[in-house]
Amino acid sequence: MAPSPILSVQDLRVEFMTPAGPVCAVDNVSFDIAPGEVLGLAGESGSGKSTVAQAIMRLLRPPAVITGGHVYFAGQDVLSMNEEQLRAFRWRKVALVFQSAMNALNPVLTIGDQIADPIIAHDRVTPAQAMERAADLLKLVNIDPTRLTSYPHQLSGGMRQRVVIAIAMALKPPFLIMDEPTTALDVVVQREILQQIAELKERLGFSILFITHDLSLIAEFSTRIAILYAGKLAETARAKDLFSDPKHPYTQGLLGSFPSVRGPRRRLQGIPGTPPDMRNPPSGCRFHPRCPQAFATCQTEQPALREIAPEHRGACHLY
Amino acid sequence: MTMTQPYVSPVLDVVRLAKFFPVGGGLRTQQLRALHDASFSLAEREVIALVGESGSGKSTIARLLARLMPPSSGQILFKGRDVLKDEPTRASLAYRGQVQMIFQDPFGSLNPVHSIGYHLERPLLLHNKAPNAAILREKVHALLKTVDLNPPAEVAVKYPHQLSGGQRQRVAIARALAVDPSVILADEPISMLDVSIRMGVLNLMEKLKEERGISYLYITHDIASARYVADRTMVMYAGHIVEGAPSEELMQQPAHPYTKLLLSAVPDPNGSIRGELPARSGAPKLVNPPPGCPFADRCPSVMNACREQMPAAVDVGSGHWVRCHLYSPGSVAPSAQYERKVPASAEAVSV
Repeated sequence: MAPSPILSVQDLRVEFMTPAGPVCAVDNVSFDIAPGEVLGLAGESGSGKSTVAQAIMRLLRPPAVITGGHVYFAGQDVLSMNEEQLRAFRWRKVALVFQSAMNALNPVLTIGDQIADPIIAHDRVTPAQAMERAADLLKLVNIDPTRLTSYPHQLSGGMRQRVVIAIAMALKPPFLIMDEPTTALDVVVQREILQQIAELKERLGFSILFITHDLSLIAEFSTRIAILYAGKLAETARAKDLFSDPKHPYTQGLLGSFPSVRGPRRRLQGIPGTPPDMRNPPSGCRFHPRCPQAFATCQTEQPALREIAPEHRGACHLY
Repeated sequence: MTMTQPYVSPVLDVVRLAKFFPVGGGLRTQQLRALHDASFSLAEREVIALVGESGSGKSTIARLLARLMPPSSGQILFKGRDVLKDEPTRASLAYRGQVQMIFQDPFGSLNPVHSIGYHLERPLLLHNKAPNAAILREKVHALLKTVDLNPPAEVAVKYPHQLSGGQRQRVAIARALAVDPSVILADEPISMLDVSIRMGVLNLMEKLKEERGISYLYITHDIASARYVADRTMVMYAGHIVEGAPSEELMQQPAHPYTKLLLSAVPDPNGSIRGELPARSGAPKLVNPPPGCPFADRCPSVMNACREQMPAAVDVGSGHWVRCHLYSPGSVAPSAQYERKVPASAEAVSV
């Protein structure tokens, strides 16, 4: 582990209080992110990946409740912050790039107004100064500053996503959470946005928690990868190790779910069954009903996440 | 998947199909050219993938073939019969039974207030496939079993919200199968499903092809999945089919600069994010497009001819054709980096 992580999530637990009883969406999730690192958090829909992001930003609203664990940002306890401390923390320390830029932008405000908004809210600046900084931010993401007066509908999907990234970087936070930032985009645009993010990261040195369902996307981009299944971490490893030597049967199954345009054409099986219903999760290891290597213990005992190789942790009874 | 036997008579022949939409109103009505001159034929037990970015016209082709809207021009020949001439206003029940469609969104394509059984009974009744209630139930159960939804009696009484996305998409496939179609138009059937269950749905489509001799038009933006299921792949850009080839050939020897761009943008776990793309993204003009090739503005190999005229299809061998001036006879194209010799004739080839 790298010394003094910028973000440390420890035993985080989030439950949704439904009329039928609590549903545990995030169950004892722990990870650290070092300064300048990119952690890829991958999982299917319902695995709890976006809930983790919202918990870190303290954006969860009832019925979702954080019922356990800690989140430390540069040593500060995020979960015990009051409203005033949160105002100083959100966006200045950690900013969020939302999924689907189509909906994240306000259709009746200009791009300039929307980028200047967090600057005015957090810094003592005049509107004119804020607009100047907004112009700089647009240049940073390769959009012509004349676009400040454009409305979202006048921009393409890729440009809108860039605007959302510019808004996230408005206060130059040292940490960005990106929740599926390229999901609705065409591959060529997706590639450009990722390259842009990589380049900005190099230049400005922020850390990233990159959330996605597409493993192949984060391979090129992440330092480390964490795989989330049904609210629990199944495996964490350095990106290269995870692809060359996946340990958890779920990770192995996921990697066997992506057809490739390169290399030999092979038959892919995906993973049998469907992701579990979180209202009624399976006993023992939550993956056991779909696991080709499950044995008796898997049905009764939850495996703990433990070191199974150097810097490689897995939650599986096989190890 | 399997490298296939030679094809016999096509099931579906598409000849110079085009679709324009009027946009704007009053005196300023303009034409949005969603599809130009699409020609190809789909053989029995064949899977053709249509690949392209959003707005390239892939779904327009599917909707025209399903006859959900009339084309602006062109012909659709089903087993040799000109269906647009025979049934000009509305497709016959027989045609609709033969050409079925699966939609992208398994959440939107099933009615939430009706049971799964109801969704499968409807086509059976409409197409007179079930003379009595016992046969109807039997057929519904058989369909559910075919798409691996077990036990069928239990699934039939469930409602869409009780099923996962993958299971719902299987119901949509079962519904298409109910009327024994010979062609299924699958419009992004896996793009809204969880990664781990996508392959299950593609493998099911594959199995049905083998067992029932169904042909597919598989529409996707994911060129890797096209390679996985399709015998042939066609690439679309701005309403034009710009290249078509056996899938493996297309992946190994892409000819059109746009196809090369698409392939280079696919994420590669063993690659690096820093690799330069051969061209930038950009939206082609679909309303009153300028003459010439729509990719000209973005193309790294653009020539003068590209801005004047849309290139005709050129056969580059092995069932591979491309619409690009780099391959036109007489054009000197050092940047094409394509070893195969361009044949002398440049007749429009249908795939």
